[in-house]
Amino acid sequence: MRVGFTDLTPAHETRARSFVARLAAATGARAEIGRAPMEVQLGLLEDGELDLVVGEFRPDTPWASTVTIVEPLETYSVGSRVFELAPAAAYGENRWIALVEREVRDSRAERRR
Amino acid sequence: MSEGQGHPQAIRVDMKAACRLEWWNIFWTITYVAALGLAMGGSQAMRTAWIEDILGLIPPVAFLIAERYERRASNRRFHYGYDRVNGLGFFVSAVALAAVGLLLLMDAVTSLAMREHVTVGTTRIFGHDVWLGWFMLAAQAYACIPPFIIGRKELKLATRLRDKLLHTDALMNKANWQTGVAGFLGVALLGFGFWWADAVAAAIISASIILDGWRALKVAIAELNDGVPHELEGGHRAKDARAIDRALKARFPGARVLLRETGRYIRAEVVGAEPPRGFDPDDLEIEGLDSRWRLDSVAFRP
Repeated sequence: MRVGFTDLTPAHETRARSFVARLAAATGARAEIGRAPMEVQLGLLEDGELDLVVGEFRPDTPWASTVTIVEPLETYSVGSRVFELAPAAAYGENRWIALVEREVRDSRAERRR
Repeated sequence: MSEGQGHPQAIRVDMKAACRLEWWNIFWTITYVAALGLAMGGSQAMRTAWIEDILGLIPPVAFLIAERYERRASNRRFHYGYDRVNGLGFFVSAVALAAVGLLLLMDAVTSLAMREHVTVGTTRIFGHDVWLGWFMLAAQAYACIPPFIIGRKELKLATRLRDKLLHTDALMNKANWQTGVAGFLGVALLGFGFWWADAVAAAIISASIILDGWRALKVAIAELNDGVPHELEGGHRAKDARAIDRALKARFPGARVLLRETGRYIRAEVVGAEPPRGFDPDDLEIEGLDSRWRLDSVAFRP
């Protein structure tokens, strides 16, 4: 499983790593994680070079028109703006997106407990 | 009828029934447009079917507006009354239909050419992840039922009333439930991983919209251009028009008979004959003319 992280804060990187580990356990795949700026990672995702990108998006991000931004792992604010730490997958990979959505929801539910 | 007020007695009951049916049509269309709007997500086939269903509101609204005008008597500005308002509404519906169909077809072809994949995700309900496609399929299935029933009822009334707008609406309802089935298959195949199915379904739906619009446009232009009355379907000269033509030629041998359609009525002109003293078209024997009210007037040009 090829995963790309964008420039995440240390706290968000920890959260993203734990989510990727969870996803790897659910799929039985080994995760290979790389780091690069958002523009690069989402380009690789679109080209099919990555299976998943975890990044920080605004809820109305324009990237939503080129990739599928899945539900957020966490929501946080910077000043008056809201951001989401969320995984993104390529458009139309419906089975994969459904699995990622399920794991995001389960992971959020576990953290709430 | 043009110079009098209200519809001819012979069609009043049917006109009332048609108005009632069109109000029901608007009500049911709004319900399934809302259902599709809530469920469509990123599916292009569903978006196309949704837009087609919204456009489906134009003919019933145009019919109800035209019906109100048609009932009015002639006045100083409109000596021949408002019989043509129906045809005008029909023309507007036809243009809107054809134009939107073309735009949607372009959209679908672009999606196919760009190999755009559609995402249909899931939602969590009572702890279970449910594929959003199920909601789309349910909404699409529901959207097929009202147009199927209403369209069949409209077709019978449109034939009796010789109403092109009502007839277009019936055809549009037919197209709506058929495209509903196409949209349903598009989403279902998407669920099986066929990414192209959604755009192909959208293209098929768009083509059906264009075809509806083109057919309606041809009939609307013919009427607005004083064309000879034609049957609602098939493009043949109307049986009523043939009967009037025969009767007038028999009564005025050697004269030319010109016919044109104004809304649901036929107006005849006899060229090369003097009007007989006290001539009343209502007294003319016309064999084969089932709906006598169709003949509005006979004019003479000696």
